[in-house]
Amino acid sequence: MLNRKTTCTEIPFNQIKGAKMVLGTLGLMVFLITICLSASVLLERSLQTWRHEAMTGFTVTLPTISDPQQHFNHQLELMQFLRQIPGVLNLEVITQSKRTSIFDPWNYSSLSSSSVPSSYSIEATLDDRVKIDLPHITSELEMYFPSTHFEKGRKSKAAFLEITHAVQVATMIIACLIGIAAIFTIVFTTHTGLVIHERVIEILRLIGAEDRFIAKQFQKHALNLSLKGGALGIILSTIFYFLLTMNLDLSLLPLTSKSFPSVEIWSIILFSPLLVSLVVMASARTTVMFSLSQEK
Amino acid sequence: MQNSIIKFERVSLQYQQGPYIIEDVSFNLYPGTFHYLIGASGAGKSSLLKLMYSGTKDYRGTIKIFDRDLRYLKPQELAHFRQQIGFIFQDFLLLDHLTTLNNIALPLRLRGEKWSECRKKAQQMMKWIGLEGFEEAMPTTLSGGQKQRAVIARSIMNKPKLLLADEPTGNLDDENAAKLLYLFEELNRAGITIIMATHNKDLTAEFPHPIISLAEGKISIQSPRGYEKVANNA
Repeated sequence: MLNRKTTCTEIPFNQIKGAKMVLGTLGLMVFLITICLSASVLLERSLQTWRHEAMTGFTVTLPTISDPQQHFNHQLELMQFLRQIPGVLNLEVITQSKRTSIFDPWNYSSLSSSSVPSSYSIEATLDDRVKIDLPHITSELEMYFPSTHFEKGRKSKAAFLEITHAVQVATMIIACLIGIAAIFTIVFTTHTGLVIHERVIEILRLIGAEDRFIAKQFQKHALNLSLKGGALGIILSTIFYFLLTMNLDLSLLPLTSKSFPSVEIWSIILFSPLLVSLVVMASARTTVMFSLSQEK
Repeated sequence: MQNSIIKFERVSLQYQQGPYIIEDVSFNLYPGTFHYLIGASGAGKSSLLKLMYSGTKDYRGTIKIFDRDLRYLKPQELAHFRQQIGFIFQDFLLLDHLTTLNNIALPLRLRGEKWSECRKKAQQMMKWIGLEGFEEAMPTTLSGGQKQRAVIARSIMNKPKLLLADEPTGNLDDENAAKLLYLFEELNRAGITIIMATHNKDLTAEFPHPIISLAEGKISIQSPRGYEKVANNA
């Protein structure tokens, strides 16, 4: 029986020992992309809930009054007024120090100084089902409490949401950058392969190999590497989430389902390697086709 | 009048600013002919063959092979063009990582034929050329004569119209060289046009065919006695 195995690749890719390094690199890249995309999905889900919470309320901002007693009375009167508005479930006074403390982890401590005007806010949480008559409340507030500023939504949450959204965008950007790095890796590896196998390619072209035939060989090799790298990435991601689940207090993530990692995360774990494989395959093909066309 | 298979019209070739390898050369070769290409080392025999398989486009003049102007061959047409030509080189150019059978089957694989068909045809070819039993042998384990036969087998797998051989007897002893020439004559009788670059004057005398002589960038074509002059140096 004749051996068919040797016909699989007309270009001897298995002679390059360093291919395993590329495989490992791709595996790590798939793992990192998975982590970034998962983080992005989790943040998006959290953002949706937090946005909803932030929007089902309103904020009344008042300047601080220098006399503490007068300030306290003023605040008390305003609170009583706001409690009478239909649908108000809860009121929370957001002082300057409290606002600063919310953003301390984000290094917003500098805001506590002169950069922030001296004012305080009262944030109301509303019943979802209640429709707020904004013009009416505004006019009443202006009448009884001049120099107040009324806004829909809980303003203390807005900046937090912006920061969270920025982090989410950052994770997406990092995932894209890792993807670009994967493309560069494959382009470099393919170029190296073209140089190493120059003689074989020359012979193949001499006996009538089309560029796309040679490109297909590289494409297959790249697919093979990326699928193996992808499998490694899946294993790393699974181990990572397993360890995370073991050490994570799920109550800290009220927005994620009890079955963490969720279906979405599993989808990312499984589809990221496929996506990377497609990109890698296309990169290898394009690189070969471009390089060979330049030689003509 | 039969159409020429190879037509050179005022062709000149020069590498960068160096001297002309081929200078203002014109000639026609016709289908079914057998020509030797002779000249001193560095005279430009390999360059002339290179021009014939469109290995370079840095030439002046017009080269037509199979009535196609090589200058206007599109990249995707080049592969198809080369599939109609067989190449035999002194240093064999076999792929060492493939078995002999796979090397011979390669031109068919490049055309996209099924593996089973490639194998069947390659086996028949190996039998015809006298390499039966060496299907799974790697090229590195073959003798010089066997390698040369393997290369010939590979070069004619596509049933080429034109066979270009660059010093194919250079690495062979006299006996194997003579066997190779018998094989070439058989291929020529089958209708394949052959151009064979060689230094071996004994062989050209033993197997007489028209000779293309290349010297100082110019060529002349002489036919041995009994041969009609098939081409003229313009």
